[in-house]
Amino acid sequence: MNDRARTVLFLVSAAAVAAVLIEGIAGLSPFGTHQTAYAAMLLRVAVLERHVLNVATAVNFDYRGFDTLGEEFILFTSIAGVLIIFSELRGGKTLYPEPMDGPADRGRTAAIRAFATGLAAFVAAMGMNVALHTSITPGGGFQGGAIFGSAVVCIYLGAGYAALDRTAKKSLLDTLEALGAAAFALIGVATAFLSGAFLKNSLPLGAAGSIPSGGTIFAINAAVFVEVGCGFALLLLLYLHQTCKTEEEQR
Amino acid sequence: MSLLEIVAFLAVAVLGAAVVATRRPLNQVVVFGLFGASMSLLFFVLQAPDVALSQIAVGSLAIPALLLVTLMKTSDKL
Repeated sequence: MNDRARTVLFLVSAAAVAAVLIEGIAGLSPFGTHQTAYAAMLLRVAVLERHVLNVATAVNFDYRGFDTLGEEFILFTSIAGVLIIFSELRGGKTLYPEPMDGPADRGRTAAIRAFATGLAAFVAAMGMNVALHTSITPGGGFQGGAIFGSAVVCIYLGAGYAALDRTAKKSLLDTLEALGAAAFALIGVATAFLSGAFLKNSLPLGAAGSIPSGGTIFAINAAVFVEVGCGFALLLLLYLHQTCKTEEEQR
Repeated sequence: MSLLEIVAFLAVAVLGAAVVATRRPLNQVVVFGLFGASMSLLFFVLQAPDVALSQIAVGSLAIPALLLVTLMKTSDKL
């Protein structure tokens, strides 16, 4: 196919797609005016039934908790896949491209180091804060965990991979990640024994608006935070390890 | 539609197109990160702060970081 025919074909298909899109968007009801029966019901009952002010959290960890369990295991399996591919294929001792205070490290001034490592502490604290307030303010275990794991990148930028590799224990992160994922499933099994239904909220709910409120919601949130936080940190560590060569690859 | 919504929608449209229009992969990762940030602004403006938080961490930090390492690994220069 020559360029001209290709352009004509593109323009015709683009026009067709645009026509369907414009037709569809024009037919949408204005933003915020269309509320499903399910949404209306949840907004009415969630706070009273579960003592959780953030309805999104109540949906994620309770009303649709089973869906979230599946999603957690998608993340868990993906990270397990990365772990297998990246660790099994590389043998030999890691050769750091940038030893601390070595020639490759000179571009990093003391100010950059102090700022980036300080930022890591702030990011980690921010992640814990977002996860802790899941039942009150937006965010929760997933968001908090993802923010917490990002602290790894700040340490990398501030101190380099060698320092990161020495302080972060991959085996510990790996274990904690698995324990977090298992805890979510085990909470489901425990509630099934306690109350007869998988993931049925059967812990004391606490006062609405207090930090540990929502019964199993808060417990599941903690499990998700541990899994996502350690999972993201591990994932970033594994990728950053790719910036180094190993002794075997050097030969 | 409020002014902030218009700004957020336009930013997503312009930056989304910019991701496609950027040819050099390294620049593309940076533009992609900005696109992710504009998406989180849009989610926030549309009253979905939970999604906005996920988008900031995943779309404008984790994915660009992983892409940068992949580029470095495949091109031997960064």
